[in-house]
This record gives sequence, structure tokens and C-alpha cells, in this order.
Amino acid sequence: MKAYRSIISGLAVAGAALAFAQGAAAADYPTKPITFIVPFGVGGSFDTIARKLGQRWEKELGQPVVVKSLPGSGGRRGSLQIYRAKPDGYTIGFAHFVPFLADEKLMGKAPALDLKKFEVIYKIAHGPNYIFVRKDLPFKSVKDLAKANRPIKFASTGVGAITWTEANALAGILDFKLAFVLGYSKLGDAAVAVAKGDAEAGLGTVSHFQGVKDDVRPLMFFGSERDPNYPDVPSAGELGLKRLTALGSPRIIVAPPGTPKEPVMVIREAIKKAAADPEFKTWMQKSGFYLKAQDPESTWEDLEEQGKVFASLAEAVQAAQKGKK
Amino acid sequence: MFESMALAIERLADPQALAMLLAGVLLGTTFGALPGLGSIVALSVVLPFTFGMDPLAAMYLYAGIMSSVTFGGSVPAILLNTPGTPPNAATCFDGYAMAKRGEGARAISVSAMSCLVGSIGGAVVTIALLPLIKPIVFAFGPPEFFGLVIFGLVMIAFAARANMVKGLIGGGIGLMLSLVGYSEIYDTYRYTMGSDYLWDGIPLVPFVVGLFAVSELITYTARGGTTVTHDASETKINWHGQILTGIKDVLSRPTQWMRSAAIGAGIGIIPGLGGSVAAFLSYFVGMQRTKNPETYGKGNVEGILCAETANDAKEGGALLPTVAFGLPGSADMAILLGAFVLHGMQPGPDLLRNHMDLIYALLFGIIISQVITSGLGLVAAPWLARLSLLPNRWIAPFVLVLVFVGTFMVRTNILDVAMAIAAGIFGYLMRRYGFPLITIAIGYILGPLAEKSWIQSMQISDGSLTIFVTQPIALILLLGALATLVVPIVSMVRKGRARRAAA
Repeated sequence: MKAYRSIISGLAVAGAALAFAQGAAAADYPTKPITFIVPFGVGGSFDTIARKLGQRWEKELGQPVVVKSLPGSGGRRGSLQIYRAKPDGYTIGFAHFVPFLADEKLMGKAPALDLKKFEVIYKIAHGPNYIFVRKDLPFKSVKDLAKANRPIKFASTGVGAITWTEANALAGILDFKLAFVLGYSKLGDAAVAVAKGDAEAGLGTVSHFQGVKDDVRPLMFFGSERDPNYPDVPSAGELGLKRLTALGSPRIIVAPPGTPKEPVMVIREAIKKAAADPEFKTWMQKSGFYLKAQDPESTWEDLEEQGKVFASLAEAVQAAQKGKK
Repeated sequence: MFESMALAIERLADPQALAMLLAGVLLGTTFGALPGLGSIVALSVVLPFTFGMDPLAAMYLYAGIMSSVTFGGSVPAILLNTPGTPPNAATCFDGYAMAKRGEGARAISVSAMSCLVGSIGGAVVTIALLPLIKPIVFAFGPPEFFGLVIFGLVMIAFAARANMVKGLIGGGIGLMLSLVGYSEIYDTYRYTMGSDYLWDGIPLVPFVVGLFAVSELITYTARGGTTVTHDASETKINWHGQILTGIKDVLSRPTQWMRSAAIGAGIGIIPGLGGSVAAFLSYFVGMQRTKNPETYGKGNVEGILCAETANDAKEGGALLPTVAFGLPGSADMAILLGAFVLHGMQPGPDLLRNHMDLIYALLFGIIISQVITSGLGLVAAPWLARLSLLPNRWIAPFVLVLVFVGTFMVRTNILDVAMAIAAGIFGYLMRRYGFPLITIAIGYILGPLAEKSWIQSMQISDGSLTIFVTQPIALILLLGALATLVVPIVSMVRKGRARRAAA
């Protein structure tokens, strides 16, 4: 009997200890690998940034970061996957906000998700594009585009894409007409189309047009300051086109709606540390990804501004679409 | 040029380099042979492991995978009528017909040899065209793509000469299926029926694998028996002798494989066309140039030769725009591009100037690993081919499981498995009613490119059709397509007249 009792009490103690250990573990985050969803293909810019970042960040968190690529529908598919994931802090990722903004503000369609519900962890980078033209054209600055007095033909991926919006916004501000050649699956293809003469102007980052850099001339950088990669090209900020700097492709790390505060804070700190690493900084700059660490508040402000640009273009676009039908 | 070549060769003598190539070959062959999985999945799996590696070692690993996947994928295409990767679909037609005749080992041997000459040919073409890469890429724009696509679509009529009407209907169905999904040009969703599953259209891997493999599984489960149809017992078939026959088959047809390698490398160089197009186009050109096209699809070794040679040659070709412009010519090249960036290299003119040794290393790596792959393939062929003597009721469930796992793995989406089943049932019905599946596949694969290149041509020319006349390459391609369509009809009419005259 005595032996039984001691076994039972022993088990009880062990059980209590186990329960306590579990309780303690729940307070510690993370205790298992974190899945990081990237809404674009393996090898793309979002994917490479996530992997480079993940490498550093594993040391901070003590848990592996598994990068999972879910491409499709211009970044909508992977973003939707994050939105629907269990909000326990073990699934996070890059949400691509721009296509959903375009669906809602530009095309007037009900978006597939409510962007405002995303738990923004941190914005790691901003992808301001360049506008470039074929080298043998007489345009030496963006202002020259307005002097042409004819529609300028742009190459872009599609209606509502970032480059499409930027071209339209620029044309609206500088008051020139434009036409498009659309449907290029990658901005690199669009850059080649500009270089070979299928279109006159294109937009993209350094990584998109450097394959044809001998045949195109960058006219303006959409950032607020000049890009050290091309110090001779003026920025939108210094040309007084500040409104355009909110455009571009933000790389925002988010958690699913309803993720508790603690994991969000832990990850934010880890990312901040990883982003401050000088080696990571130089790699980002050389690869043409612009490190721009931003807190959630100013990130939302920029998105708001981008939404306004879309809204200002909506009427014209929807009219054009109806005309085509 | 020769310095960097020498450096690349020197690096290949390193045991670590060979180990990397071998690892790549084993991975690539396995991933290729499993239906649904392919080089994209294989490359994505190894990408994270190459972080800490020396860039050259990483390149060898990629080279091993890229060169071996197509041969791996041809094995189930031949033995099970199940393409291991979508570009292997063209290999099914003649490969499986040969396996049915009890010539499975010969077919595998032909495929192994074709892959070998294909990758060597592809690498040679690539090195030769390196200085010309800019004019070549610049020569192909939307009007030229449109010409190529029309050429491909006209092949439908040729592929289905036995029943042209059903063939054209099949092609039309394929075209319509390809319209499903989000359209960037109009920013609209088409036929998605309110489900985000169809946003990206009907997915390629589940659709092609389902269409060919699942429908075949239904067919041969219904039929029973074994793949080898006549009652050939194992003793009667000389599997080992077939290997030699297969090697001779390839070596005795130099014009065919040179032509196929040139087509493959050419399609690879032009960004935006993709691998399935290379194999199909080469298959049809072979069919058109041969004296007896009616034997294609009924177990002609030339069919395998044309498809697989082009399939492997395109890898070398696709490397060119990837390194020169940062434009990946195929999906696996897109991953390779990412690997370059991860290792701190930016593709473009600078890469060609400063890192030529890496490009040669990749090309030589592709050739060496192809030698390893083909060698292994030839050795294993007699044993692999014995699969065709197993009863279908044992094979079918096994293959079905492989198909389901493969289609699920690509995007880890269970609906993709449902799509494979639906495509399989659809494919089975189409087979039963005599619609050639190949025409559906061609329509489905070329559809998006047809639409896009037409709209882009119109946007470039501001709506003027003269763009197809003023661009010489586009004009030649369109005239070629017209001739392909008209010549068989004219000869048919003539034969009919001759027959009537004789009667």
C-alpha cells in the first residue's frame, strides 16, 4: 500500500512539474520553428530578402525560420494564406498590400480580405522604382516627357500593378499622355521590351533594368533621396514630386489578424536587430533592395497615401475598361 | 574566355565538385521520376542548403539537378505513360507504345542517349551563341511570339491528321481551359466561380499529370493485364540487347538530334516560352520532316529522340538570357537567378564580364552530370523496363499514390489533388470519345501566350495588323504556319483526285 501511495504521489508531483514546465514554455516564445510565407516565387526579391533575413534572425530567436514560397495572382495568394493562418505567432510573412489596394480603390471591387486587420510587425524595405527610357530617345529628364506632345508608350506588367500606377501618377502630375504595352510576366521582360524598342519607357528597380543598362537611361528615382547605386539620377523628392515617394513596393512583414502582442513584439525586436547588421545592409544596397525600416504607424500612413493615388485614377481606369467591353 | 574555361575545368577535377554533381544527379533523377515533382521543387528544396556554400559548389549542385530531371521524368513517361514532369508529356506517345511492344529498355536507352546528346548540343550552342545573345533576345518580341504560337497551334491539325475535326475541337477546349484565372492585362478574374483556387488558372502540374497519368491509370485498370500487351514472357525479351539497339538508334540519326538540339536550345534562349513548348515543337518538326509521319505516336524511336533531345538542350539555352539579362528562360532558371543574387552576384553585363568561370562551370557541370545520369540510366534500364511485365492492377494503385503525393507537394494544396482527379476523369472521357489528348495539352499550354502576344502586338503597333508583315521573323513564322496547314490539305485533295481518277 505504502509503495502504491508513494508511486501515486510521485506521479502527481511529476505531473505537476510537467504542467508547470508547459506553462513556462507557453510564456516563452518561440518554442518551435516559425513559418515565413512569401507570396512570390523562390528566387524572387521577396524570397531572397526573407532568406537572408531569416538566416540572421534564427540566431536571435533560437528557432529555425522556414521560408515557404506561395506565389500566384500577383502576390494575392500567399498574402491570403497568411491572412487565414492560425494567429499563434508561428506563421508570419510578407503580405503584398498593393494588389488588394488596387482591387478596392482602383477597380471598385470588394477585396478578398480586410487589409486593416493584418497585424503589421515591421516594414523592412521599400522598393522605389526608377523610370527609364530607351537611350536613343531625346528625353533627358522626366519633364521632357511632357514636351513630346504625344502619348509616351510604357511597358508594364498589368493594370493596377505598381509600375502601372507610378506611370499614371507621373503622367497626371507632369501632364503628359501615355499608352501601355501590358502583360509582361516580369519587370525584367518589360525592361528588355523598352531596350529593344517595343515600348519607350519603363519602370523598375536596379535589378530589373541592369541587364539592359547599356541601352536605357534612368530619368528619375521614385525615392525621396538619391540612390547610391546611381548617384547622378535625380530623386522624386528633390524634383518636388513628393507625392510619388509613397508609391512603390513596400516589403511589410505581418502576422495573421488576431495574433497576440507578445510574439509580435519578439519578432519585431529580432528583425530590427537583423536589419541593423552591416553585412545585411550592404547586401541589400548592392542588390537594389532599399532598406527602409518603418514602424507600423508610418507604414499605414504610406499605404493610405497609395490608396489615395489609386482612388484618384479609378474613374479614368474604370471608364477605359467599360469602353473596351 | 579560355582562362575562365580552364578555371572551370580545373574546378571540376575537385572531388567536392564531383560529389556535388553526383548529389544533384541523384536528387534530380528522383524528383524527375516522381510525377508532379520536378526541377522547381528539387531546386527549391536545396536552395536553403546552399547558403553557406562556395558559389561554384552550389552551381554544380544546381547543374546536377537541372540536367538529370528531364531524364528522370522520361522513365515513368515511357514505362507508365505518366510524364514525370510536364515537358516529358511528348515522350509518352512513342515511349509508352514501345514499352507496350516489350521494348521498354530500348526506349529508356534512347531517352538516356538523347538527353546526353541534347545537353552536349545545348551547351555547344550556348557557348557559340554567347556573343550574339543580345541580338537574339532583341529579335524576339510579341509579334514573333505570336508567329511561333500560331505555328504551334497549327501543329494541332497535323498531330491529329487521323481525325482533324476532333483534334481541332480538342485544341479549342485546351485554349478555353487556359483562359481561366486572373488576367493582368484587363485586371479581371475570368471563370473563377468565386473561388480563389482558380485565381491562377487551372494549375499546370496537376492538370497535365492528371490529364495524361490519371486517365491512363483508369484505362489500364479497366483493361487489366500487363503493359506489354502480347504474351511475351520475360525469357523472350532480351532487355540487355535493347540497350545497345537504343544507343545505335540515336547515334545513327545525327541530323535528327542536331536539329532537335538546335530547336531546344533556341526555344531555351527565347525567354518566356518554357520547356513544354520545346519538346512539343521538336516532336512535331520531327514528325513533319520524316517520310512516314503515321508511325509517330505508335512507338517510333525518333519521337522520343526529338522530344528528349530538345528537352535537355533547352537547359543550356535557357542559361543565356538568365545570366545575360536576368531574364529566366524557364521556371527553374528563375530559381537559379535567385541563387545568383543570394550569392551576391547580379546577372547582367557585369556578370558576363566578371564571372564567366561560373557560367562555364555550370555548362560543364551540366554536361558531366548528364554523362553520369545517362550512364546510370543505361545500366538501370533493363531492370526498370521489367516494370512493364508487372500486372496493371499492382502498378495502378502505386502510381496513383505517387501522382497524388507529387501534385500535393508542389504547392501543398489538397485541391491540386482534386484537380488531378478531375483532369484524369476528363482525360479518360476524351480518350474514350477519340479526342487526342495531345491537342488539348497544346491548346492549354499555348493559350495564354497566344492571347498575350496578340494583345501586346496590337498595343505596340497601335492596333495595326501590318506589324506581322513588317517584322520579318514574325512573317516567316506565320507563312510557315500557313504552309503547314495548307500543304497536307492540298496533298489530301490530290490523293483523293488521283484515287477517283484511278477508279
